[in-house]
Amino acid sequence: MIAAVGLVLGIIAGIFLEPTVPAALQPYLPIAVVAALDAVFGGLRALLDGIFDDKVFVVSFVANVIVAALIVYLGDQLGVGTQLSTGVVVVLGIRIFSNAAAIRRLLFRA
Amino acid sequence: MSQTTTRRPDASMSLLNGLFEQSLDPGYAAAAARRARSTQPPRRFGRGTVLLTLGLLAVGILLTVSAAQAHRQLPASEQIRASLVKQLQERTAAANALQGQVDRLGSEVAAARQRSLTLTETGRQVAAQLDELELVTGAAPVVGTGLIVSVNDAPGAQAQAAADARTTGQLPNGIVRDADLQQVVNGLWASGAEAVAVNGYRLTALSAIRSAGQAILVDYRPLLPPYVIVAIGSPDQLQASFAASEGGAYLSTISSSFGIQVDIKRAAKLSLPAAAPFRLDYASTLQESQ
Repeated sequence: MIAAVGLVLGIIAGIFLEPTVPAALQPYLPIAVVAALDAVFGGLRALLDGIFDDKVFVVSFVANVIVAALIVYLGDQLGVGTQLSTGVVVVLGIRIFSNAAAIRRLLFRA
Repeated sequence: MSQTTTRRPDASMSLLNGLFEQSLDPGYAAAAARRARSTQPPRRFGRGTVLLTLGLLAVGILLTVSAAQAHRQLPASEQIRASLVKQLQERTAAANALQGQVDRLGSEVAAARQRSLTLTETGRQVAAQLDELELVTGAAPVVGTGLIVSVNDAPGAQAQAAADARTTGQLPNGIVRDADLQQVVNGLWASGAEAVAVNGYRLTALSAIRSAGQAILVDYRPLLPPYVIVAIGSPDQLQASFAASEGGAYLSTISSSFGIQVDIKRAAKLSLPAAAPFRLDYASTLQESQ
């Protein structure tokens, strides 16, 4: 799969280029990772369901990351940063678990 | 006439329901429906694949960068502790290497001195006198029969000491103190020991057993329990005299009262190392001072 090569290239680029994240963005990196994982699991489930669409995957990934980071940033400005980030993590976590359960059902029929 | 739509009984839980049931982005279903309706055949390698590759590239970079970031950002105290531990290990290794060098040079000097002394008759007499003096003062290693006395803290005393340090600031009775070791060593000397070493450190006329906090120091070097005191002499006489001596009585008292673990063994072949080289600044022999 040509697209999987993109993933491997991304991982290799991250390891060798070692881009340093600007200090202002560092607190939002974990939430961005969780949002990215949610998009990836959603994409995997759609792939196994047979309804995968490239554009929807990329848009959902970018939108998830940006929206999650924006919510946490807004929370920081308002003073409820930890609570909002907890909420975001809870919602994304539920979605990840849901998608993972569906993937498990589709893969192993169990 | 208003049209009423029937509401589900759990309509107020729509947020949680939506959370659990709509975990897959509805965009996928919509795109699939659109594809099913369109008449165009699906393109194998087109704009969609390029977009997907770029998206996965971004995912890979994001995951790797945050993993590297998390790895680099260990809590500050953990980093400081790790660097201190590393420094400690480096310095200890350097100190050990220097000590090894000191030992080697010391033995080279002794061998050279021995060689030059045996060249003349008076030199040989001096060498014999020197050997005997070194044996007695502790400047040379010795072998012989003797006694091994092991003294250890009472079981559970270490944990209690950690707790007591915060409340009373005093050591619990089950911890071995410097006075205990002093009593044992004195008792062994009184019983006829000819050479004594504690945890591998030879005792000389300049040795002091003292404590700093909870640690016992011999010649300013800290020891860790269990404390093994080795004495060279006649095993029978040492054992009998030590048991009858004040030191032996003291040891059996603290063993029965506070649970300090004591183990006395005879040994047929003991070897004690030489003491670290010492220097006298104020004491001089009669000939030198005249």
